Amino acid sequence: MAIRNDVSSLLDRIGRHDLRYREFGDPLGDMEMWPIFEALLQDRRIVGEAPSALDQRRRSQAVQQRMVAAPLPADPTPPPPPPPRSQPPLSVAPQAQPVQSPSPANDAQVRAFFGQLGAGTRTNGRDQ
Amino acid sequence: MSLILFHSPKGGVGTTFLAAHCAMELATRGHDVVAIDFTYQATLKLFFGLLPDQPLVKAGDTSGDEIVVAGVELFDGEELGRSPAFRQLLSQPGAQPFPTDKVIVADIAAHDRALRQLLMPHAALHVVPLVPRPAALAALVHVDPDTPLIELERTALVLNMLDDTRTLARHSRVFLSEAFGDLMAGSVRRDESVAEAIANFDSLAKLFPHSPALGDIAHLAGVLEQRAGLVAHEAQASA
Repeated sequence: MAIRNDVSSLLDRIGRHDLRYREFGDPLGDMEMWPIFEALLQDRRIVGEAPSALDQRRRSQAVQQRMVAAPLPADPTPPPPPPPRSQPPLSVAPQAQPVQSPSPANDAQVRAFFGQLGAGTRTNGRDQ
Repeated sequence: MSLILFHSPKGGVGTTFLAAHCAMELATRGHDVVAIDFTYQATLKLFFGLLPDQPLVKAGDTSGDEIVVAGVELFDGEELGRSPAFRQLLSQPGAQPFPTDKVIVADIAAHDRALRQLLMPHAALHVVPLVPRPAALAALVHVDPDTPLIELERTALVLNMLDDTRTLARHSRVFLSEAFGDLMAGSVRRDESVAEAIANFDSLAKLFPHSPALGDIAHLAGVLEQRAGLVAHEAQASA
């Protein structure tokens, strides 16, 4: 069984390598299905195309089998519906930026930058 | 390509901390690492033990001495990142501006999604830090504007500031691992010594060499090294 990274570090620090490692319990057994988790699993921006009813049922069943559902409030507020498919998820796109003509100074800066990256020498640097 | 982007759709999740320490760890592993701070806060240098008023060499400014700390060459890329020429170059089809013999770690501010979008085609990996808090989890829908999260390639989620004694944090770790599988690259424990090192203007590795977060970063860097194809690249180079 692979030892957990933090456990390994702890044993190294205290110098105890004679201890046997065993993980107790099922971490999923401790799991609650918080509403925010459910909302993420139902969001198209997370899971992609709207699944068919059958797919959605299978996914829900699979998750429920692996996680212990938390009791929900008596009158839970339904999560907001996902945005319609025709609406772009986000509005940021590089082409949305106003196009500006690069100035000669900017061109020189970019050339100099990639020259810096390609220089490959560190003899003049301060290595602290 | 050896460009690794560190950008989260949610600010305040430790993106700069992870970028800095992963850069240092990759340098320790023998890579030639360049770290570029594209943020206006310019706090990347603090994780290297530099002072707030200590300027980095501006990317594209060849007049100053280069600054190399812990094996990582540091650049202030804030001005370059806003340069129309730079952005135009990145958006050119087929452009391959970044050298492949170096690992370039780019720290990008949460709000600068336009720069993230421009750099993404040139990146080997996009590291998305998040914390086990509702706002950060909800921001997962904004990782990429065009592609659903589970369909993203070259993307690695990292759960930072994890405190397993907290119920939601513990459940978030399990949920993310189960729901997103290989997208999850690892987690880094909450560690007060990170802030204490910066408050002392010193490096975490020097002041707190047994920091739990550092141990987690070492493990995480190995995962990122694999995901970014750096191990194969090194093997090919030495062959």
